[in-house]
Amino acid sequence: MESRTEFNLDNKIQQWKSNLNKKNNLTKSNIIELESHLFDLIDDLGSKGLNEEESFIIAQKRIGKIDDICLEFDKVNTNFSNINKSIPYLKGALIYIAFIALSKLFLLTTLALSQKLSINNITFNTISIILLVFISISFLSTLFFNLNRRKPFLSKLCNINVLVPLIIISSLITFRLSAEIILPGIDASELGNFGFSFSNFAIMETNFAYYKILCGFILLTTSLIFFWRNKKHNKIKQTK
Amino acid sequence: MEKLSKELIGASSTPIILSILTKNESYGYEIIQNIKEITGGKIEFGEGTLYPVLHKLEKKGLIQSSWKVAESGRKRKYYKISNEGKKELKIEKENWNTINQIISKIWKVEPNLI
Repeated sequence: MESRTEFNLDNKIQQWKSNLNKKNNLTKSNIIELESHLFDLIDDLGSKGLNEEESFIIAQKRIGKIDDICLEFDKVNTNFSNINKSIPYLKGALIYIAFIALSKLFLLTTLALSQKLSINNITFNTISIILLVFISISFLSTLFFNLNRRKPFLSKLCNINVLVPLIIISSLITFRLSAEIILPGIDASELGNFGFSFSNFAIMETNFAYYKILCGFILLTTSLIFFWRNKKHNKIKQTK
Repeated sequence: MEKLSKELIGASSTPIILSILTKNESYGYEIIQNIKEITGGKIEFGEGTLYPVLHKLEKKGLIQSSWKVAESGRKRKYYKISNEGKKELKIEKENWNTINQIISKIWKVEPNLI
């Protein structure tokens, strides 16, 4: 006898819905409406004697291909669709701003600590590099760990609801810290330890400059790879 | 029996949907079934076609929608015709009657055109 896995209607509908959710041109309301329609079709087919699996397959076919539905909905959801298409760019800009804000916060926190602990230039240089490497490795490890466990860590982190408060909070702390730390060019006549502060600031900025160049290079390379992979994927789709 | 062309169905979608909603408020699936039944299967709206048309009519203010809970316990979006929609339907009826009269007259005067 033929062995087969048991058909689960709820799972199949969830799968179908998640495919709709991936599209830019369908609102949540559209998806609920289409889901309700799918259920009506399944109920109707079921009342005619078809089992759940047969009903689902036919109902899904009757509703049509998701891409075709989206094309039609795109005509009425133009504004929504355009906003959705621009969100990735907005997120990209916000991630960049968050990176800069966190960099400044890190720079000032390290400087504040170095001043309080009176660390000399050479030690400070080593510490700043170790800290940068440590933070990068910690971030990448957390990312890798979450990806392995299939947790949406990166997408949660890149969420606008997370990025905006992160930028605001880190900017406020940076602003507060910058008022306390003695920086070059500020009240130079009153600075007893100007030389020390300036050296640390310069060391930190130089290290950061290298770090930013490295991060920028990695981001650009990754973006290029993603862009070409996406282009290749689209080409395969067109030839089908 | 041949089905009507897409263009003709598209052009007649507004008066057909508005006419159906004049009787009662209804939801997508029921509207499709009604159209199929009334037209004897000559006009069949696809799901991908009907909902965008409904949303377009709603944006124009010709119909109104509201979410209700169906007997099955599921959410369902119901549509009903608005006062603006009733006025539009009246205009549509006049327009389609005029077109009908014009075409009938042409074919009566020039039967060889058929």
